[in-house]
Amino acid sequence: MVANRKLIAAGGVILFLVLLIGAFSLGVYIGRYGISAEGLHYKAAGGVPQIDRSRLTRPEGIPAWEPDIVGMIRGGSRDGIQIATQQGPKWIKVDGNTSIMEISGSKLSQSDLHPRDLIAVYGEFSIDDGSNLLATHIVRLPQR
Amino acid sequence: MDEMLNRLKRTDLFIGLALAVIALLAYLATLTPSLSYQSPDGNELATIPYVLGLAHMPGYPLYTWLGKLFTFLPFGDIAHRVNLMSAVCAAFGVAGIYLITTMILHPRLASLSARRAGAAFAALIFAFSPTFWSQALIAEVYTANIAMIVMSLLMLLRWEITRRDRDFFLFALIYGLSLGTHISNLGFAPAIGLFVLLTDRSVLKRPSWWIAAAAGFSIGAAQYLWLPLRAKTLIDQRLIGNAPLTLKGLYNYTLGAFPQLKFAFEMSELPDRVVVYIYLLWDQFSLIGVLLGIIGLFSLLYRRTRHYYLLMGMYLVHTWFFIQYRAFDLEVFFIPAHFLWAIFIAFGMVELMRAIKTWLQQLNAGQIATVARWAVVGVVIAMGLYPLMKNDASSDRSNDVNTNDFYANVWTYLPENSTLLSRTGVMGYDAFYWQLAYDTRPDVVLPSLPTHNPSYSDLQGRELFSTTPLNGVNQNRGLGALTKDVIPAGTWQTPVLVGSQGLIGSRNRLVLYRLSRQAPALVVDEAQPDLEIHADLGNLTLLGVDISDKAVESGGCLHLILYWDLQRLEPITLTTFIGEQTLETRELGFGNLKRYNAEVGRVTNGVIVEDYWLVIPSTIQPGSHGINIHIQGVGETVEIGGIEVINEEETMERWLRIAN
Repeated sequence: MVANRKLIAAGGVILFLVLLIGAFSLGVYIGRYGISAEGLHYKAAGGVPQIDRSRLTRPEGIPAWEPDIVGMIRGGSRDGIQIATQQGPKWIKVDGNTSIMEISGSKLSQSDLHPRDLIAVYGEFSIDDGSNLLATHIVRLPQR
Repeated sequence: MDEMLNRLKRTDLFIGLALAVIALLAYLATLTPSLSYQSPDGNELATIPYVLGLAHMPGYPLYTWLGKLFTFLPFGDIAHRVNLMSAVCAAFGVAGIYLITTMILHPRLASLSARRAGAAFAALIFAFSPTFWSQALIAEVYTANIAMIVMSLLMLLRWEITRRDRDFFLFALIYGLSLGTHISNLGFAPAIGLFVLLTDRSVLKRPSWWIAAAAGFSIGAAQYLWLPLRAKTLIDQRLIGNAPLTLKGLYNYTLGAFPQLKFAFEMSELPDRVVVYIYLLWDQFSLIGVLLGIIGLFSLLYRRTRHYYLLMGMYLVHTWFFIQYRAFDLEVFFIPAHFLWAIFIAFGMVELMRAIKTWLQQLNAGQIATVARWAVVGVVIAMGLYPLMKNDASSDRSNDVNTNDFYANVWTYLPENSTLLSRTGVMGYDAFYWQLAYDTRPDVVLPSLPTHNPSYSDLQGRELFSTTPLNGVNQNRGLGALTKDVIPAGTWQTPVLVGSQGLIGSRNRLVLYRLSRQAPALVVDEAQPDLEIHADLGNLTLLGVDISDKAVESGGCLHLILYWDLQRLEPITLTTFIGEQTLETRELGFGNLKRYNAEVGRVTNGVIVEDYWLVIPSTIQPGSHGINIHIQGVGETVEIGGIEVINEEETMERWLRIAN
């Protein structure tokens, strides 16, 4: 019985620590994004932003089809970008061949992309990286 | 066994079976009919079991063998049968949650009906949680893995009762086998070890127990000998580079696979990763499920301390590992953690019902309290079915027919003795499947099937086609892409058959290209269309159209010739619809206009001719349908004619007939 009490106490400490880590992480998140799902789940008023088709022509270099995923940048590193999308948080792989541009078609570099930028991603899956989406084109969309 | 059956009464077996049947019926109603791009490697995992090949890292031997058994079913095509395996395994996992929970729930915690209601509630909300449901409908490893985890836990709980070495041998065997559905199950070992110590540490002094444990696990894990035996079947560049032919290769292919994805985040990023996990958990079970799970954890700790250490230990190792895993489809990796959380939810729900019962007793309301208690049980079970209604439409993959519809038409279209270039390696199985499983059109050469790096000399003397773009903005990249020098620079790629995008998403464009050294006849001097339209669309005029047939079999294709007059060379995006359904979105001239103008000229002085076949999805209902083209940006939609869709042959029969 004493042993069981000790086990319960130790298990309680583990459970407390788990909840503490969860609460701390949520606190960090709320500090960054407030009480919203903005950092995880991109849900824009009026739906996901589209590539601007109000003009007859589409800037050269932007693929004709719909992007694979659209979302808001949360962070990133040299080889990838973490974005909040309608499908939840997603990691997008980028490499030296990834073409990054404005909606107008003007070229950008990866360093021009910042947290909270809205982007449309066109890419291909690459099994060599464990089914990551390798971005071939990233188009920065106008802020809403 | 008797004691186990005492805990697990016959009624519980029936309830478990009933839950599995409910789940299976829902899965069958929403099952993917055949191939699908829902999972990036799903088409490979649908094909490998049939040919008893070697899947991508870490090989999945048990999955391959189980899948092979399902391919012997006498209905559907091979991919359908493997999809069905996922559904059956998922249903088994649902029953498993109920059985495991009822075994662990303490009889003194709540009445039998409350315990059963709590366990059934947990099983149902797990069954119809979005991520698990999505994996129950396609050829993937995750539901088979849940089935193996369930079997492992049931055997471990049985050993807990009997303490017989042979039962532990069976547990160790199943646990070892479970590594063949997902090698991450190895991370459960410390929690299992702790559970054994807490249950009966005297076993450590018994050589027979050690022999049973080691022998069972070794026999189960010996399935990985499959890897070197079948390594010669690999066709993917990356996998061949890590072929499991040596001990180092075996390590790289299994435990050492995907090192760049593991522990991929810095310490400062971990709070973010924890929140991502909480988000995914919330997405499965809602806030109520998250809170019930936390209550359940406290209940489990207090009332079933040993099982708390087992389940919580498994849960913590799994979540800690995958929180730091960097994959696009991260959500599926947490399915075992969600499975464990569902068990916690069962405990939380039973605690809640116990509290309600106590409150009702305090009211001293006699018969009304009894009725209310049964009402609570009914409400709890009904609540378990709520995710079924909520997620039914979004989970349904039964109309995911576009991959098969497209390739069925590709095989019909390709001329005799032609060559089809497809994506390579793991990504190429949408094409390889047909020849590997059915020997479809053996006269057509698939150069990417025997090798990831076909040479141009192999392609000489045959008409060339491809289902993967080879150049320009559309060029495929990633490992599935063909090497750049396979096709000489300057080769023209002209679309001749276009599949419907539908559910497949934009990343897998279903287009068959004809490859030629000469420029295609993209521009002619004048047009004489069967149907003159002359729709003025600003910079663009649709002069007319030829539509080959007025009646098209659903799943068949329609021959379209569109005649355009373009005043100024600019990229223009078009979308073709049948009724309200999008068939294709593409660029005018299929991306060839700029080059054609530079090399041949006349684009703005002649008539642009787009001559291609368009697949009509087999999900289109028979009857009359209008074909419309929408010019993006202009906002104009032009009706170019109508067709009669007929359905003289069942979809699966047609796929199988064309397959061979």
